[in-house]
Amino acid sequence: MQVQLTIKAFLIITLFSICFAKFTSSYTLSDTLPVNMQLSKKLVWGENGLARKLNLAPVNRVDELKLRHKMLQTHQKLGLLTLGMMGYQVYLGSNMNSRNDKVLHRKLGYSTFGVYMTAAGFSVLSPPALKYNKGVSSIKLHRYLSYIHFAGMLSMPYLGYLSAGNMDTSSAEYHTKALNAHRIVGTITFTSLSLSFLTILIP
Amino acid sequence: MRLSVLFLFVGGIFPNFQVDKTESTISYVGNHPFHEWQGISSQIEIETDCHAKRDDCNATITVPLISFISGNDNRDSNMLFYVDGFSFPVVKISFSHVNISNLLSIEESTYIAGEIDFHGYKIIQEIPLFIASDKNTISIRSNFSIQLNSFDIKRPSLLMIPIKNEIKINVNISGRFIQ
Repeated sequence: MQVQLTIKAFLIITLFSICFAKFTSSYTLSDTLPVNMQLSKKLVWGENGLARKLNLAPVNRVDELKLRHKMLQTHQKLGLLTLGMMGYQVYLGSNMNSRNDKVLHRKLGYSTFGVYMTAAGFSVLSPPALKYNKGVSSIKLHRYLSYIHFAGMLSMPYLGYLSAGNMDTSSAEYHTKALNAHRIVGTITFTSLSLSFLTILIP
Repeated sequence: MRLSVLFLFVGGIFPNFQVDKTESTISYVGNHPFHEWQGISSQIEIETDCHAKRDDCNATITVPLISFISGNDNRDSNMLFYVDGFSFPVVKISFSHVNISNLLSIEESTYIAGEIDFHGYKIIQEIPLFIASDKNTISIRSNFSIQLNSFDIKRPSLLMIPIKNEIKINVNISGRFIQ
């Protein structure tokens, strides 16, 4: 009888302890990495990602999130700068009347390319978020549009180089078609970058 | 005798309110010059002894911060970063010495002192509560605001413009006491 009472008391106390167990905040990396991370993030910041293998990752997930925050704030500022520079490039490109305009357009083009790639790097290489939700959202639209303006931006310097006649020979002329392509790709790139900016303004 | 006292003690403070998570939500509304957004959670837990003690009871509403979804995963992650979701994973609202019988008889909101435990800070605030009963279902409604600086939370910014300090909270809970 006493043994039965002791066992019952033990079970009740155990149940009591489980129900009121304190929630611990000793997270491991596996607990806090999001489940549906993009491939680019997984390659760098996954559990076996490059940043961890090369010991470049911050010591804990909290510091990673602080780094992510700083990188994305920098991405926002550089993104705005890129938009401004690209806007002026579009204006310059459609109003090139002298050799000086062409030189300025070329130099500003390379600068815009540099700023753009730096801004992209801050976003792509930033540590992953705490969670990624399924479904379409404004931030996903921002990401999908980036595929368009990134592809455009990669091709623009080369198209510009061809447009200047640098590859023209006596038997082959590229600059006319390249110039047309440069204009079209430039317009698409600038439009998609502008739309990308607008997506962050919508809820 | 000791065992029966232990049973009574355990029975008195075990959570006995089952929240209907398909009908219940707690949401916050944030405001930025560019837009307004809402984060919604249904992962609500209530611990209370109001079923047993209707004249003087206590209740605590707990919601995990990670359960709030605003439709933008970047913003949700940013929110968790700013409220330090690792160190303080839940937000709690506690009410003490509530006369539930009185509240059920009033057909309008009544202000009750509630303690909001958020980001490691506990602040007592008058919170309007409307509680109604329909057969076995209890409905709880509330709308109030909190100030981020009261909880020492730095305001996030978008394009270098910070959000507003005031966050509106909407509570809409349905549930029943478990026998």
